[in-house]
This record gives sequence, C-alpha cells and structure tokens, in this order.
Amino acid sequence: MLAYLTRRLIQSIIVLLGLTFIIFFILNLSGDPIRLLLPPDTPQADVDAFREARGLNEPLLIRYGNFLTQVTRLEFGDSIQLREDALTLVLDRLPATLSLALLAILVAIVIGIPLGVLAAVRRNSLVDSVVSFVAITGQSTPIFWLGIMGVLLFAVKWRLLPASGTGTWQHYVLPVGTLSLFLIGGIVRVTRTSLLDVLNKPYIRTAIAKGENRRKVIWKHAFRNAAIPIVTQIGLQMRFVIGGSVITESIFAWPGLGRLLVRSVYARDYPVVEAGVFVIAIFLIIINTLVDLSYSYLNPRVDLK
Amino acid sequence: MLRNLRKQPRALISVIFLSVVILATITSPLYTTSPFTQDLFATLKPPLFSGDDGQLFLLGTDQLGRDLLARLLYGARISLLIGVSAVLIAASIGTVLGLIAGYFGGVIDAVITAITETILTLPFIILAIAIIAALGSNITIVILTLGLTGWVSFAKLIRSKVFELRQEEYVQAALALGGSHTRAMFKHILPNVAPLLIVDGTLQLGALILAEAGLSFLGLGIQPPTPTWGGILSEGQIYVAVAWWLPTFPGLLLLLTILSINFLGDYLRDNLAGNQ
Repeated sequence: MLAYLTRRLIQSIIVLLGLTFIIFFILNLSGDPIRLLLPPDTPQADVDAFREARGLNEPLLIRYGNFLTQVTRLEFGDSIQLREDALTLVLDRLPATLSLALLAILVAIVIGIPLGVLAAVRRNSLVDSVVSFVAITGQSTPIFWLGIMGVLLFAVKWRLLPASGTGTWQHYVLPVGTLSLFLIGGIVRVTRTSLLDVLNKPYIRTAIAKGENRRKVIWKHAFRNAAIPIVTQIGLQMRFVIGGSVITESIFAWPGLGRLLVRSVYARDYPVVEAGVFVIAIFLIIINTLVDLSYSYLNPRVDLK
Repeated sequence: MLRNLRKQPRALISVIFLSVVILATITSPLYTTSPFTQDLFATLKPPLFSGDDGQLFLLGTDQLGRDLLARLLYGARISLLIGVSAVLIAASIGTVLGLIAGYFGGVIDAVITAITETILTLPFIILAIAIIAALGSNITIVILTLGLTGWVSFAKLIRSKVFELRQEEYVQAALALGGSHTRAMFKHILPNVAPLLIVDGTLQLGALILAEAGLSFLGLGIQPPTPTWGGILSEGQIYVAVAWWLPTFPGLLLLLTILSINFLGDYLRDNLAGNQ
C-alpha cells in the first residue's frame, strides 16, 4: 500500500512537471510575455529594466527553472487585472465550482446508475432502447445549449427559476441540472455495459439457479462486481465535470473558477490563468489517485503494487 | 456493409441527415441571402418571416436582421472544416505516436504514455484556455488547438492495439525475412488498426465539432462577424427572452449533427471493428 502510494506520488509529480512545462511552453509561444504584462505605451528603457528584473534575458532553460521554483513556492504573482494575489483569487472561487460540480455528479449518479442497471437487466427490451437512446442523445447535446434551453423554459417562459446568479437553493437548480444531464449519458452507458458483462458470468447464473431473490442477485452479486468500471468512469468524468462547469458557470453567471478563468483570458491575466490551471490539475490528480485507491476497496483482488 | 445500412434505421437516417446538411451548405447561396447582409428594419423577426421583396426567412432573422438560416449554413462550413482538419491532425499524430509506443515499448512507450497521461489530466477546455490566452484566436489556432490536444485518444487506442498485433505471426515473419521496423509498422500493422482508426475518427469528429462550438460559445473561438454555430448561439443567448429561435436553432442543428455522427460511429464500430 505504502509502496503504491509512493509510486503514485512520483507519477503525480511527473505529470505536474509535464504540466508546468506545457504551460511554460504555451506562455512563451506568444513571443514576448513582457508586452502583455506592461501597458502598450511603456518606454523602451522601462521594458528593458523590467525584463532584466524578471530574469527574462536568461536562456530558456534557466527561465524554466526559475518558473519551476516559483511554482513550487506557490508564487504565481499578482493578478494583472485585480491587483490581488492570483492564487488567493483562484482559491476563493474554488468552493463555488466544487459545490456545483459535486452536486451535479451526485445527481448524475443517483439518476444514471439505476437507469443503466434497468437497461442492462431488461436487455434488448423497449426500456433498454429508450434508455440507450436518451443516453447517447445526452452525450451529443451541447451543454451550453442545454443550459440556455433551461433558461428559456424555466426562467423566461414559466418563470419558475432564476436565470442566473447565486443565493438561494433555486439558483442551484438550473446549473446543477444542466451539468448533471450532460454527465448522465456516460454513467448510464458504462453502467449498462459493465453490468451486462457481469450478468453473463457463471456465478450469477448459479445464484439465480439456486433460487436467490433476483433483486438481491443484481444489486449484491452483480452490481458490486460491475462497480469498478463505473467508479473509473466517474473518476474520468471529473475532467468533464470541470470542463463542463467552465461553460455552465459562464451561462449562469456562477461565481466560480471557470468564469474567472474565461474572464482572465479575455484580460490576458496570465498569473490567474496559471494559478487556476494548476489548482485544477492538482485537484484532478488527487481525484485520480482516490479512484485508484477505491479499486482495492471495491475489489480486494486488485493488488496495488 | 452498405447492405447492412438499410437494416439499421438509426445509421441510415444519420447518413441522410448529414448528406442533407452538407448539400444545403454547399447550395445555400442559391436560396438564401448573404450571411453577412444586415437589415436594420427587419431585426429579430420570427421564423417564416417574409421580407418586403418576398424573400423568405425560414428561421427568422437575428439582432442585425441577418438571415439565421444563411448564417447557420455558412457556420456549418466552418464547423465541418475545423472538425475535419482537426481530426486529420489529431489522427495523424496519434497514429504515429501510438504505433511507435506500442511497437517499441520500453522507454519510448513510457515517455509517450507519460505525455498522454499529462494531457489527459486536464480538461480540454482548460488547455485551450491556456493556448488561446497566449496566442489569441483565429481559425488556424483553433484547428491546431483541437488537433494538438485531440491526438491523445488516438494514441492510447492505437498503442494498446499495436501491443497485441506486434506479436502476430505475420509481423514476426516480415521481420524474420529482413523487413525493417518501419515496414512492419506501416505496411503490416497499420492496415490492421485502420478500422479502429476510422471508428474513433468518426466519434472524435463529433467531439471536436462540439469542442469548437464550446470555444466559440465562450468567445474564445472564431471571432464575429464570421458565423459559427457556437458563436451564433452565444449571441442569441442575450436575446433568449425576446427571440427564442436565435439560441434554439443553432443548438438543435449542432445536436442533430453530433448525434448523427455518433450514430454513424456506433454503426461503423459494429460493422467494421466488430468483424475482426
């Protein structure tokens, strides 16, 4: 277990190193970052002084080294636009994004798993076709369109829910609903496939032949064994949850990290973009590790070495 | 394979729908006004609106009086152009790296796998945000962004398949007869992963068109006045309370297109990859 965790930690560090490199590389693609950091009418002498002070005259590799040092010290600098510490800004927005994302995935699980089980148990029936059709439609639906249609119907036409903002529980309904509808398709499909796999196994047929209660066979024998791919899928979906929440936040003016990032791109606010990307990367790496750990809990045969 | 198509209504309808969209896109100048022509006396007119000169606006007009249908069909060109170019880039990079990683294994495989895992850690949209923050946005940058982030799924898929295939007798035989590694990879292994490539390429095409629309929706993709599905939707969002058609039709068209592509991908999987 400890050996596994150590290995996992090393892997995570490699991934993070890779990400720092990608981000550093992307940042330097634009040529001279200095022009983005200073007002356009800055005199050349000041530009040179600033460049010297920031170490931008050094060779690329040394600058990457400096960048790494800053990142490990969690120094992303101040936001250009808001003149506050970029990391603090990002961390302030994190709870809003996480509450939206976690609620959405919870709703998607509560609806998606039973639907997937239903489709698998009644394989090739009308129920199965309908559920599968709905799932693939859900996966093909642009999330931003779903959100706007939600606003059109529930906020504009029927006046049941607020169209944007935060405050009351009603404000959660449309964003969470949009994001979870976007996720349900994937969960339904993977639940159906992995349960079908298990349902054909001899031990399930034995349990049914022995006269075991059908419901018990499905949930206790079959579902537990189908759980690993389902958990993996949900873990993988965290990436899409975060990606989807960037768009969802923009539709509903949700004060989260995604909206902050999009606005920082418009403003070319590099420190905030960097800090935001890092916080998201670290969050997703932690989630991936937790998913791996849950394998051994769900299936003790999985050896974490 | 084509005979099977008739037995599978979903796939058949998808092919018909996609053909109609492509045909309508090509022929749109014949029956619509220019997607850029503004008419400030006929703004936000509902679907089936007839202009003074008898010109029919089937899907209504937008906030500047432009023909929504003409804009959507022009946008289709851009979406398809970006989607297809990005898929070709992604598939080429992914196939070559997947072949190399799966064929040689060892350190090369470890490095390529580390790169794919790194890119897969982040949501696509976050990577795109970083790239577009640095470079700004135009059609080339959007295609490259999608292509250079989309190859990972191809690489992963091809790698695992090549891992199996390189042990096959015909590959070993080719090597024993003095064939080079390059020849073994491209002449003997590549044709056997081609069906997989076509299936994943189709599904990725849908994903990348959707991703482009998402970027344009956030204002990070193709810039106005060039019409794109995501961009029209984003502009239409503002008028959702007074002109329901503006955000509704672009999304519907996008949904039906992606759905058709996905059905087609599923069909290809059952009929191409499934036969192996």
